Amino acid sequence: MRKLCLGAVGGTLMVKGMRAQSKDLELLTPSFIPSSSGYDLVAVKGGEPEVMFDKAIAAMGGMTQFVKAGQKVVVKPNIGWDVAPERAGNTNPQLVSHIIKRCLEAGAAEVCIFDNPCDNWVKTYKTSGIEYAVKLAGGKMFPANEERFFKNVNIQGKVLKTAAVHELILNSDVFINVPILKNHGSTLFTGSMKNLMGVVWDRRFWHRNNLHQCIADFPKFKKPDLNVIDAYRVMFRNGPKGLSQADVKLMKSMIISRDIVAADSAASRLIGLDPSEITHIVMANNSKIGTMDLSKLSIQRINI
Amino acid sequence: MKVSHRLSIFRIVVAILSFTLITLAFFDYVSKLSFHHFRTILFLQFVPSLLQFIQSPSIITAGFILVILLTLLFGRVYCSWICPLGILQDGLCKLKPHKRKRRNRYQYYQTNKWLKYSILILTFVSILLGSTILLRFIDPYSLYGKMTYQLGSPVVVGVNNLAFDILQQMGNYSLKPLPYPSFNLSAFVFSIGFLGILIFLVFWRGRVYCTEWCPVGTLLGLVSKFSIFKLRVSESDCTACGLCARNCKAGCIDTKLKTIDFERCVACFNCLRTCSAHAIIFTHHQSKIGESNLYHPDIQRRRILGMMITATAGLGLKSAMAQANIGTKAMLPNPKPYPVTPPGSLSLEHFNKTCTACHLCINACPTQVLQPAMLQFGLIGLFQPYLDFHKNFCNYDCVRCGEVCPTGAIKRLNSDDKKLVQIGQAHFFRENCVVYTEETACGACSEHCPTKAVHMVSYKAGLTIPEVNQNICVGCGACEYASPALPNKAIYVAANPIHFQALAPEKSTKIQEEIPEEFPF
Repeated sequence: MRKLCLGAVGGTLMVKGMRAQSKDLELLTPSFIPSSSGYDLVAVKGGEPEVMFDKAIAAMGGMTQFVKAGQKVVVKPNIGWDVAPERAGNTNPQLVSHIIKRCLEAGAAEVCIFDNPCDNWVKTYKTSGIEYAVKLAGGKMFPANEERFFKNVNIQGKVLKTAAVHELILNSDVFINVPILKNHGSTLFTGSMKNLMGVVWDRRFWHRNNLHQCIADFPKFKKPDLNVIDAYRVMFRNGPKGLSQADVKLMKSMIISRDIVAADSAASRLIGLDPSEITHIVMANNSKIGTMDLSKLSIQRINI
Repeated sequence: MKVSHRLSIFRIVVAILSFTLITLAFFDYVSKLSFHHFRTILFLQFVPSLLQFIQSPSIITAGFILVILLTLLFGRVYCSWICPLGILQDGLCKLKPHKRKRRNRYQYYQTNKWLKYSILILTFVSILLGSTILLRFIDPYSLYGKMTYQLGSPVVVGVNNLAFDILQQMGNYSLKPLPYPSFNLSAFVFSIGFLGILIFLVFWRGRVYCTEWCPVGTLLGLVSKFSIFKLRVSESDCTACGLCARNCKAGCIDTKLKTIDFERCVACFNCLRTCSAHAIIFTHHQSKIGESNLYHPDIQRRRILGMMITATAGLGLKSAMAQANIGTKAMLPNPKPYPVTPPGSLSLEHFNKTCTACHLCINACPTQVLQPAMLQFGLIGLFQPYLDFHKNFCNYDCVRCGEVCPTGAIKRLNSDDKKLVQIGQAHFFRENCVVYTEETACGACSEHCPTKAVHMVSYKAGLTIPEVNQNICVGCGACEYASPALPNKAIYVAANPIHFQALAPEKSTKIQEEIPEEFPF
C-alpha cells in the first residue's frame, strides 16, 4: 500500500503531462496517505473555532496531510438558510474563513466554497456571513443556483443510482466537508453526511425516495477527505432552520475525522442522541462507508 | 445656438435621464436601490402616483399633481420628457427607415375624439368599479414595465451570465449569475404584440398611441387646453412650407389652417427647431402674435375634465370608506380560486383595484416567487403578479415588493410586521405525503417552514409526519415548494382573499447554556 501511495505522489510530481495515468492515481491519494498521527477522530472543546481547529488539525498531523501545494480545494460548509450566524443555522463563518486560510498556507492553488441553499442563495450567502468571511480569507465563493453547474454522475447506491453533482466536487483535488451540527425535524440531526445534500441539484428526489438511504448512499460516490463538524453553537430544536436564538446552545466543540460515519456518530452523541437512532448512520455503517462504533476507533480528546 | 435648439437638447437630456433611471430600476436584480430611490425615480409616473394618492394622499404621492401643474404651464411635457413609453417611441422613431432624404416624414391627421374620450372614460369607470384591468392594457408606464420585464430582462440576464462565465474563466468571481425570468406565454405574447403595434404606429404616423389611445395623454391633453404657455403659429410669418408638420410626431400641426392642435402636442418642441421662418413660437397663450385661432375655450371638454376631477375625489372618498370596513367582510369558504397576493397587498380587492401590472415587483423579487398570472384567476387577474409556489417561496425576511411598488398596491412593510402577515394558510394532505405513502422519512416541508407552523410529530416507529398550526402560518409557501410529493403536493397554501394577522411563533425558553464537562463518547 505504501508503494502505491509513493508511486501516486511521485507520479503526480514527476510527469504532469501524463494526465491519464496520474489522474487515476490522484483520485486514490488522499485516503491512502498515511497519517503521521494514529488518530481516527479528534474531538476538541472549550475554545474559539479557530483555536479548536488548529489544535484538532495538529493532532491529525497538520494541514499538509490534507492539502498539498498547488492543489485545488473545495470547502463545503452548510449554508442552507437565510439566518445570521448566532442562529446556528449555517456553519460558523469564522471557522470557514480559518480553514481557507490554513489551506492557502499549506499551498493550495485555489480554495472554492459553495452550497446549494434551501433559502434564496444570494440572501443566504450574505446573511450567513460566509460570503464575507470567504472574501476576507482569500477564498472563492462559487454559485450553485443553476443546474448547469452540476454534472450527472453514477452512484452505486442502494436507492441512489445517479445524481447531478456540483462540478467543484468533481474537479477539485481536495474535498473538505464543514457541516454544522444541529437538530433536524425528520433525520433527527444534521452532520457530515446530511451536509452532502447540498452538493447535488435535486434534493427532492432524495426526500421522495427513502431519505436516509439516499444520504447513506451518496458517500459511496465520494467521501470527503476531511470532515470538520462545527459544534461551536448548536441548534437543539426546531432544526434545521430554527426559530430563534433560544434554540441555540453554546457548546464550543468540534469534531474532525477522515471517517464520515465516525464523525457523525460522535456528533450525534454531542447533541444527545445515540448513533443507532439515526437511520442513515446505521445504514452507512452497514455498507462499510465508515465505522459508527466509536470504541473501535482511536480518538484524541482535547480540552482547551 | 438658438434657444429652440437648447430647449431641444435639454428635452433630450431629461428624457434620456428619466428613461435610463426607470429602466435601471427595473433591472435592479441585486437590490442596490432603496425604497427612497424607487419613490424618487417613479415619483412623476402619472398613473402609479394617482393610484397611490387616492389611497394615501401626501406629498410623496403627489407626483401626478406636479405633472398636472407642469401641463398647466407648458402643455404635455410629461409625454416627451417623463413617460418611458413616450421616450421609447421617440427612440423607435430614430429607427424608422427613411425613403428619400427627408427625415421623419409625418403628416397632420384628424383626431378621433370619440375613441380617445371613450377610452379615458372607460378607464375611469373601471377604476371606480374597483378594477385596474383596463389600466393593465393601456397605462403607458405599466405597458413599458411589462415589455421591459418580458423582453428586456432575458437580454440583461443573458449578458450578465455571459459576463459571469467569462470572468469566472479568468478567476474573477465578482459577478453573480442571475436566474432567467420564467417564460409566461400570455404576458410574452402581449408584450411582443404590443411592441409590434407600437413600432408599426410609430413608423406610420408617429405618436398615434399617445395622441389617440393613451388615457394619460388624453387627460393631460384636456388639461393642456388651459396651459399658460403654448405653441402657436404666427400667421403673418408662416409660409405654410409644411416642414414643421412633417417633423411633428403627434401629427397636430395643420399647415393649411396654420393651427396647432395643442391638445395632442407632446411638447417635443421639434417644430420650433425646424421652422426656418421662426413662425412657431412657444409663448404665453394671451400674448399677441399675428392672428391665431388656437385658443378656443371648449365647454364640452371642460365638462369632461370637471367630471374626471369629481370622479377622482369620489374615488378617494370611496376608498377611505372601504378601508374602514376592511376585515369585517366574511371570507369566502372555498380557498382554491384565489391567487396568493404579495404581503402588503391587504386583500385581493385592494390589489385588483390598485395594481396596474407594471411587473416591477416581479423583476425585483429576489426569489422569483412573484409571477404574472395568466388566466388562472380569470380575466380580472390577467397579468397580475401572484405568488407561484411551484417556482419558489416567499423569503421570510424579504420586503422587497412593497419597497418597489409605485402604485401602493403592495404596501411597504417593515420586516417584523411582514413576518406576521398571513397571505394564506397551509393545508396538509396526509394521503399525498411521502411519510404516509412510502413510510420513509422526509420532512422537507417542515424544514423550510420559517415559523414552524408546519412541524413534525411522531408517527410510526422512527418516523415523524408533518402537522400544521394554521394560526402561526404566514402562507409563505415554503412547504408547498419543498414538498417532494408527485404529481400533487402533500401540502399547499390556500390564499387569504383578505390578509390576516398571524399569531407570533411560540416563544420557547432559552436552552440552558453549558459547555459539557466531558465528551459524551
